[in-house]
Amino acid sequence: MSDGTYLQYFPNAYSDVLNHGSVTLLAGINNQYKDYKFPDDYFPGSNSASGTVSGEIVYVGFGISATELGYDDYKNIDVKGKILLMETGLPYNGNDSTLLKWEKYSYHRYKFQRAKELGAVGLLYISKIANPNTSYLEGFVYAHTSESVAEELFDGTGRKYSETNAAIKKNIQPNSFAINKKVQISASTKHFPDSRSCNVVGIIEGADSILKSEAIILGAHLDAVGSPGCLFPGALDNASGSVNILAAAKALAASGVKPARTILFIFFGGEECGLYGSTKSVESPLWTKEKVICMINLDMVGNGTGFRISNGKSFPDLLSPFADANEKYLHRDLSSSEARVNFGRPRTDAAVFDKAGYRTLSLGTTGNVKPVYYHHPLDNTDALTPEIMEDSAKLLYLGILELANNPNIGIY
Amino acid sequence: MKPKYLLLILLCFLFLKTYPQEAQNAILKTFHSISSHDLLNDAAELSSAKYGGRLSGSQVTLPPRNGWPISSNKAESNQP
Ligand SMILES: [Zn+2]
Repeated sequence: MSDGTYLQYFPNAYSDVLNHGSVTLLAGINNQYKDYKFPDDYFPGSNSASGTVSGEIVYVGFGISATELGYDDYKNIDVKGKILLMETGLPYNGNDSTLLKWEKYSYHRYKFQRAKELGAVGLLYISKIANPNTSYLEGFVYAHTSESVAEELFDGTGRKYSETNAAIKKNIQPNSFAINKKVQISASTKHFPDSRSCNVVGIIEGADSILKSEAIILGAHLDAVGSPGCLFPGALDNASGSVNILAAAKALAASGVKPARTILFIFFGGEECGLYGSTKSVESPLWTKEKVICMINLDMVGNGTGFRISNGKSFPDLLSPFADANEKYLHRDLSSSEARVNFGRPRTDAAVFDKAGYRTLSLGTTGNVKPVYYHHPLDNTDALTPEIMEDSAKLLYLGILELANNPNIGIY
Repeated sequence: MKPKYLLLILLCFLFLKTYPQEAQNAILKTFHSISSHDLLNDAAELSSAKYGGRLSGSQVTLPPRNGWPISSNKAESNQP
């Protein structure tokens, strides 16, 4: 960086979740009192307001008011002072130009804002996945609940949760209703609106006086989801990708054969909070974009038996060094895919680089050996298969050395 | 022919796809130095409780270390 450090800063508000809080079904005419359990039934919201809210539960489907698309989950439904039971994502599932019209409604931040402006005081967000990519809204308390909790809350309403959800998606028709049960949500958090974070950047300068002006970017997000209620270690997501890159970087630095092109290593911050780090690095590029051969991203590369190189089929010149290295030295199953236009919201750091016009590859794995605990307290080192990590680092070392040294590889 | 292409052809001779034996040996030596043991250790370090789950923006309190860029430059640290 211009300041002589290897840290690229950006704003990054966050919230500390001080304990796991509580989610309680209050006794009513249709149901008994029940304390839900952390972490089996719910996770506290990563950006929940602090405090306790209680109220009638209203199921509001996807929580979207897209009147121009003829879709409004809040039509004829009063949610003032209520606690919402809401789906993540969109009722529309295709990946085409129609999705483009829905995209802005897919953000958790949109849904929270909309719920708050209609007067809801709290939210049970269906999908028990810790997620800091949300907004902190004063007075708005929320938690993530499992689908089985949603199913249980539907008991006695004459409807089934799974069928209701499926019907909304099938018909793209809202189906919101009051559940006639009361819930209480408590959260204890502290919000830091003016914090910041950074990308950690490493560089191996190219050994060739001409080719060194061209760079290969290798990226992985270093951040995870923190400790909402207990430690969420983030071993597979994404200590795995980070350490694979670190090992490849060490090998490339120590290599008897030096890379002719420059290699940039970017350990992104802010991925889980909303792809802040990768966005920063395309908005304030560390290397002239026209001189970047490609960006290679690793996210969750530590559980499996085979390799998958996304976008590889679209860029055979980038794929072949990896395919050759695998065939010669690693002998793993290796598949690849075509680059596809993504009409939805970007979900990975690679997608941010894609959108900015870089050629990207994403190294992933196939053939999971262990269960995947995505954004979960059990995403610890037991969830990893170190053998595929070793081979990923080896694949990166050989593949990138070839990419860096082969003069026939051009900047498209 | 553009000089750029001439250069590319020239470089093709310099960087043949198969490296000379000595270089190949050097590459393989580094290749074999990559071990799953080190990788797992590094992953365990990043996953350990002292990093608090690596929530971006948050300040974890690490013991000060020489050369640690955050602690050596207070102005650069991400104080909440
Ligand atoms: Zn990830």
